[in-house]
Amino acid sequence: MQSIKSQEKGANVLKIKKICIVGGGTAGWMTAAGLSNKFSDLGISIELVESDKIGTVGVGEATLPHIRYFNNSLGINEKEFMLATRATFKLGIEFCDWGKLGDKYLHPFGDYGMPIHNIEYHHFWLRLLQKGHKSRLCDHSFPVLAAESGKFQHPHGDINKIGSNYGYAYQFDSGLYAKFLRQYSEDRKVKRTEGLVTEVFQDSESGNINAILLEDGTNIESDLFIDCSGFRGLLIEQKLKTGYEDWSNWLPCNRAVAVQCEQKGPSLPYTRATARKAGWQWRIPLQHRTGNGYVYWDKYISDDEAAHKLLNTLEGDPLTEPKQLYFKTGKRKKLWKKNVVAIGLSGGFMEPLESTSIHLIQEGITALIELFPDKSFHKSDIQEYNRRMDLNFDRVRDFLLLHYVATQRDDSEMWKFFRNMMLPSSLEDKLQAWLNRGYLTRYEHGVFHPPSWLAVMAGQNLLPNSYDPRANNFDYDTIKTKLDNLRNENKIAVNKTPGHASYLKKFGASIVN
Amino acid sequence: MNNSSIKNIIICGNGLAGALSALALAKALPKTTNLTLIDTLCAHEKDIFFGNITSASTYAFLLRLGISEIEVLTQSNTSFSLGTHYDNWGNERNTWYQCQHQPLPVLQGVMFHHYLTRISTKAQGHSEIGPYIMSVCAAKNGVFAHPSRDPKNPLKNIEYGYHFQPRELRRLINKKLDDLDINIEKGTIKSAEKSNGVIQSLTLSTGATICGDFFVDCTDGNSKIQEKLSMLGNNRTLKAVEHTLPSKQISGSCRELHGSFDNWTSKIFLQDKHQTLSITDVSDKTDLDSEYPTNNFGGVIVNTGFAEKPWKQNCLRLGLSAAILSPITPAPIMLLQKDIERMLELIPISHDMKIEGKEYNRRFKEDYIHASTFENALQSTQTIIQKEHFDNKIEKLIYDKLKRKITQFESRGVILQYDLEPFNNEDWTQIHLGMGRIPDRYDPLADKVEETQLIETLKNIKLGNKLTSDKMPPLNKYMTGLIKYLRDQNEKI
Repeated sequence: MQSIKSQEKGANVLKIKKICIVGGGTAGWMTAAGLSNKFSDLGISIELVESDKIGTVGVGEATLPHIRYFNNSLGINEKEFMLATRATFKLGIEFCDWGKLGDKYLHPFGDYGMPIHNIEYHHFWLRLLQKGHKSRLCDHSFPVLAAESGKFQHPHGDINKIGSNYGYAYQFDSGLYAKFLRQYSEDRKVKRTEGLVTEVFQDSESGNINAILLEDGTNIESDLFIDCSGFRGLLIEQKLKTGYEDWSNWLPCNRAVAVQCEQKGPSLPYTRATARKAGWQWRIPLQHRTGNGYVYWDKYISDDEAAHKLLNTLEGDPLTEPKQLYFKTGKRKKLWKKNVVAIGLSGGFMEPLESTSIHLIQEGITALIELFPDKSFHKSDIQEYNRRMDLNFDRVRDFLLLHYVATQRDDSEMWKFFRNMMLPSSLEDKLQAWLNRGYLTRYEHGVFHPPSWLAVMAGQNLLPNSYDPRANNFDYDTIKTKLDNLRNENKIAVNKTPGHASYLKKFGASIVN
Repeated sequence: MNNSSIKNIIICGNGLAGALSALALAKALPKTTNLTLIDTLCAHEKDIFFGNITSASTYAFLLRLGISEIEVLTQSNTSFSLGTHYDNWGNERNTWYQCQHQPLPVLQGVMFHHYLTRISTKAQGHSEIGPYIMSVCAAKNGVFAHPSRDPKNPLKNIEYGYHFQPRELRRLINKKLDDLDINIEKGTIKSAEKSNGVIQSLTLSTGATICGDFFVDCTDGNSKIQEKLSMLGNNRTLKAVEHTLPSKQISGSCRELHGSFDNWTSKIFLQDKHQTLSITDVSDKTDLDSEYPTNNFGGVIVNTGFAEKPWKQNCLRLGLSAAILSPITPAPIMLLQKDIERMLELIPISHDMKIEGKEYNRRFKEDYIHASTFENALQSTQTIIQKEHFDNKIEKLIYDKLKRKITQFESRGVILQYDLEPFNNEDWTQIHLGMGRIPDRYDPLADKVEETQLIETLKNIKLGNKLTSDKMPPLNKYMTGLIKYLRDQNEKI
């Protein structure tokens, strides 16, 4: 029998033995669940400190399909999870009034058609469009049509068929999700400690955080700290003074007001984001209620007016008092510093326009697991973590900004501001390549890929003047028939798809309507 | 019926890059675009720097250009390749097989090589990865078979490229061009007529004037089309010497390569001969002209590196006029394919080509930086880490990226990946381990697999690969049988 390397290094003094997560909420409990699933049986103890006195923000109630990989890796049963979090299925986001007033489009999780002879499908759509044969791009997407008809079914997973390889996500009660993951984590030996942090102790030599002191005098020592304390960044900012990269010159909305209301009408399998004069409004349908919020720029609307506008547009009676949030878009200059990793709002904040908050938490956890440190906290690991997370944040920022600048609206000061904005060059180049010839710039690491860019740009009437000339190398009628066929196939497939509400019921959901 | 005002595209030079570009454009564009290929009547000796081995991507690339594997095998001397055997490589005398392969198994969400670190012992050193890679097992035995579709068969994991000679492949493509609607003009390029930097026409030695909207410069970089460029990246002067000997026996399914980064020799078996290609770094030789005369049997000398902006105005340099890499890895041919695909995605549609040029140049630079990073990984770790003098800022960037990759791998076995790299995780794992870069520790999650179960799993993979490779035919037998079959089929048709 070979002697195993881990046994040779069994007495490894550098091994992390204790992780302390500061703050509960979605970020804290997702981190606790992710880390306990991986590390609790490897001799690493995890303690999460939170206080019932501090509320959580919990604005991230809509997710991206990646959340399914997270849940799967935790071994979570989808049905149990949906019941526990009162979740609905999500096929995409419907954007209203973004390109111009009265417009709407859906950003789905999937491609529009398959490439033809290695040429992206949308070039053929553009060719027909520019020759006067008009069709909606979204009619080439099964999930969009299904969402519009309020229908849902699980994708069959045949990657060669456009009608079955789309993604889906969830809309859920993030408070219940945190609770669900708390149970999961506690089952995996995560210790939950109730208490307010009153003091943070730093090692004078290394600068690492040694321990935190709670209100009741409890002292918690740890090798690694995860800061999930929210906007204030108790460890990463208040103690380690990491600094914040302010992106409000690009994404100036800085406040939000949120309220839950009763649900009217069938539960829809998509989130809605409606552009307003001084920001935008979200609507997230869950099984038992609808989450609503207004994200705005305080320069152009007061808190009272924003709350008033939100309450006036609710579909049902409010279930809660409006909750006010203040934020500054941007990210911590370093998401990992010393022995502290900032996950969630402590790391940065971007408005929930594309449901990226929970996704960025998930990216943070995944990268931390892959680059899990030992007590020497190698500089190279920290650098690599920060490089990856910076890339994730930057690319989300550009994509969010796209929604504001791809617009013909000029009916308010805010929209005029965006129309005159100097864009980050990374975004400017992308837009130019698209407008010039329908070319979509690709990257590998980052959440939004070409179909997402296509959905938003085409959805907001940003249409190119041309297309890939290779698309001319095919007979016009053949292409037209091909596209017509896909639209028809999608229609037929949607007709056969069950309604979202009845599908949810099969999942044991108790739907209001 | 056309959205483009680019009516005339001129491809200059019919070496491998020119021939492939012409074929790719002819296949991609409607007949309303006129294509002219200028046969510059030169021997294209520098094409030898496209190397002698391709990656697995070549099969699909050629197929998209309308060239089937059957044609490649029956109309050129190309043979199959599983990868490269680096034998006694460098001062450290590292020996390993660098083979193409489907992703290795992931256990408990942890990449395969971490388990090898886990089972390694001080006494025996780091466990070899080769026995777990089907293509390595086959390469070691000199055997070959096409990948299997049976998910239970270890052969499903095999990937292969080709051993080839650029001139033979070019001959095959030229034959294809004959059947297409391409004007071919013969003559050397005497001058380029420009207006505000935009090329209007080329004048040939025959006196002919060729007007065009878009020019693809596939010459070897010494043409009169554009001024000479300074090259970025690994600036080295390399001399290539090729010898071939007729041989009817293919003895080996991978490329044999020995020597060091600055002076190496490779040997491949083609269908009718074996080829020896030697590359020597002659950067330090001051009197190259007398010591290493070019254009004769003494070898071909080039300066390596790549252009910062291969696309300027209405002229795109593609192939050797834009970049020369050392053929030590399959990168030269891989990137030629990428250059052509990138061009196809960005074929200009109007005389203002700024946007296309900018995007092409951005992607080109990324690709060549990443390919050079991989190439440089074949130097000893010490050389890489200690390197402080850089010829240009891009060379520094390449080494910075490589250093980060090595640090991550050596400290914890993480394969650090940048956006859209041409070489994948399996390529990097093999090259790092091959070069003796051993992770200090492994992913702690690898401990989740119970020890006896792990050893059993590893044993089964190893055994499956061994039993499979023992049953596979030698490449020679496989090729002979296959080609005879293909020719018989052809005759029947």
